[in-house]
Amino acid sequence: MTTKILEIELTDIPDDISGLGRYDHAFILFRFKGKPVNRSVVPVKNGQIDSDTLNDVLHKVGDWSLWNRLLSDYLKLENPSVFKGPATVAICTRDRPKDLQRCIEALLKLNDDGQEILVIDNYPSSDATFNLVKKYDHVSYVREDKRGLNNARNRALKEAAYDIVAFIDDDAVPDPGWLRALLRNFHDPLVLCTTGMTIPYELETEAQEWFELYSTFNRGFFRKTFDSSNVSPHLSGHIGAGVNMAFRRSVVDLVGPFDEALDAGTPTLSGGDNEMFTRILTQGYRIVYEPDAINFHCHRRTWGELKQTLHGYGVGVYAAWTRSLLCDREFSVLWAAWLWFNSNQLPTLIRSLLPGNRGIPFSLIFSEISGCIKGPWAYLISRNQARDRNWSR
Amino acid sequence: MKRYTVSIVIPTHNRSASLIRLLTALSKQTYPLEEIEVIVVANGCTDRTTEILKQIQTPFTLKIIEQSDQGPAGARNNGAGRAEGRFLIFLDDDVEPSSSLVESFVAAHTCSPGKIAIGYLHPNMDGKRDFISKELRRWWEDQFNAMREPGHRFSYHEMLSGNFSIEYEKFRQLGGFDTKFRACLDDSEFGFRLLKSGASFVFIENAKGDHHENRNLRGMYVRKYNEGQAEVLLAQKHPELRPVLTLSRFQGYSIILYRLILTFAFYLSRIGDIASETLHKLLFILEWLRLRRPWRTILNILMIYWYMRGVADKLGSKKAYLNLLNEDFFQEEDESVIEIDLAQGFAGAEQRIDEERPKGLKLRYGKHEIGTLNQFPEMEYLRGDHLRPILAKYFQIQILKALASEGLVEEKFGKARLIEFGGGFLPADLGEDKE
Repeated sequence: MTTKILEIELTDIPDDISGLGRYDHAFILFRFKGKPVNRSVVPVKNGQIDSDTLNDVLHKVGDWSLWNRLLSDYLKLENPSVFKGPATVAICTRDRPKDLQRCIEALLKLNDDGQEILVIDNYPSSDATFNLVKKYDHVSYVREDKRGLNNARNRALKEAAYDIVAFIDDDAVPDPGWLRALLRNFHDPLVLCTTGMTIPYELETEAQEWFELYSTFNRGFFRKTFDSSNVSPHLSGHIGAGVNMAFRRSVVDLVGPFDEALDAGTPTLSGGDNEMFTRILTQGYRIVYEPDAINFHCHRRTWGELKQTLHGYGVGVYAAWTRSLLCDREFSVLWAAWLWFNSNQLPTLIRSLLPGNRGIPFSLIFSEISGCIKGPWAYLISRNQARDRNWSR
Repeated sequence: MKRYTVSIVIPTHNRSASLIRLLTALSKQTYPLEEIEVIVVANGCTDRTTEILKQIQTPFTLKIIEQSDQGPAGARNNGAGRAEGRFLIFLDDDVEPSSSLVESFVAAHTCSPGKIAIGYLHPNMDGKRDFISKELRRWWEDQFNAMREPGHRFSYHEMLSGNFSIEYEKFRQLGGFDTKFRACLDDSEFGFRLLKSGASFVFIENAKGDHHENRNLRGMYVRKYNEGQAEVLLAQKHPELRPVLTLSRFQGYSIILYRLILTFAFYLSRIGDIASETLHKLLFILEWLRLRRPWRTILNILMIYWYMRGVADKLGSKKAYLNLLNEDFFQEEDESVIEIDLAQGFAGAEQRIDEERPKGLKLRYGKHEIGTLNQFPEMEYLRGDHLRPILAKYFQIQILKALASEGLVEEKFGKARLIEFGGGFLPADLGEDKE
């Protein structure tokens, strides 16, 4: 099963789409004058999507997300004071020069608003990344030898030349309007972070399809403003992810740095981004989700990597909750954990055990839940390691 | 001819340290200091404010007025009475102005003559991280976030007196603040008279001052109690404001909790106060456990209770309260509603609104009725740039339907479904995803 990623601009709709050779589905992102309004997965027959199928899909696209765009297009309303002045784009990477190259090439094609591109090479095992970045005049290279994605993120916030730092993963590619849209919502002084919409770059393997189905980075087509009065700070997965987010640099002073015991490169495997979201919300600040800030993420291709990723999410979420509970005395973590288990994990688990299950396979949900069980211990171990490392310096 | 360009009036009450901080910041203004005079009104001070003031040297003219406690409103009026500047700037004593504040205000009066300029008060919690500080910070920032929106239509309560500027003549014409409002809302009341006189407001981001907010939970109860008392005065003085005041919100509320709060506030205030004290303790436990949602619920109950205690103390009885709510008042005839046809384009419509400055609008698109914008008594007279934000806020579906009927929405964009959309109903979760 393979799915082609397509985009359709609604002001210029093709009659039918052909040349989809080996694909049996198409994931279509619909845009209206460049702005995303909807998405849909449609069957591909003999390498093409015929006009009937296309019309059927288009019928469902006419909805509030599109109408909102039509209305603002008609009213020509301006945004409140748009963030002016350049920003820093940071890519935290480790030993993935091929992915990184694709990301940098795309970043260099963005509108030049004077942004700085900063590559943080975290605990590299070779100088491949250094040699790659050296080739680009407009990309800065910083090497961070403290292992762990959150250390790299903290370093990026420290090294950045500008007040707002946008993060993109090395295995992602930005849309041409990505950066401008991500920077658009900082006029409210309480907004310390914005997140964007992430669409799959490709769905070539079954593992990638399951990832998109079970753990999509897409948070919908409406802009949303989150604070602790409208969302539980501990269910911050709804808000966004590290693949597509931007911060005010002052976040470090206002709520503290990224927790170096969390995320990739440590025993906790993930969770560093979400724990930061949580702290922003609990400290009374805000996060805006901006669907116009699109980037494309290349999900892990193999089944083994997918299982590892989901396992890592399980560990990361519980590790982050452990920190919140033990360090920040956030008792509502317990409630959030129960909500997640009761309304999502448990039903999914039961469904996966039923005969004829067509939903999430048992092995995936099991990897996640086993990760959750490990999470608290992973955090304690990771924190000890981080402390030892800091002492030995 | 006035002697100074700017007179800065600062009412102060026993806060000499923050007053010195303010005066220090004023001596670093980018605006020529010889064109500034500063008038400090020591209002019922029992600390050594005046002695300290008399000892300090300032690079601008400093006048000191000492008076017995007449409330901030009285202090502002007395200060303004001694002013010799063309523009008045009012600053509270807990504000620390940025160096561009005076320059920005003067520029604002030059660009938009006659307007009342509201400066940005950046809440500075001085590192406090307790829940109430975060709530207050959010409240303050949201006041200014609203004003930042393009085409924002100002309301009377957005006349915040901590950091604003007005032409001297305008202040004098309106007779200044009403000193009956001793503890609070003197600024809102002044704002209402300004709006009624046809004045317009403008928000000046660069006229920024750090507001060192020091209120704690108990300070909030006192504030709400004072607001309750002051809103009774507002309702009596300006009956047309009554429907939008908090005290009207509880009329006919059937929710038991609210009825209970009213009963305690009016009849059982001694028990109510004890209960309030208990809930106050509970707030600390909830905060210690970081349970935000229950904390917010309890805080709301306390806020309403103390507000209603203020109302009750001012009016004396529940009967007087109900009388106040149901009293008829003479509504001045306001014919200023104009009809706008959006099909003619925005430019003409906005120009017409700018010329006529109506209070309400009757909106249509060709032959399709869009709706009527009521004459909100608490709002600014309309300007052209209010139009489109109002349409985006209140008439989304009506406009889309009209556009669809006129063939301006293509078939494939859901034209048919838009036209069918019944009765102006808006999905409640618009803007929030349906997950």
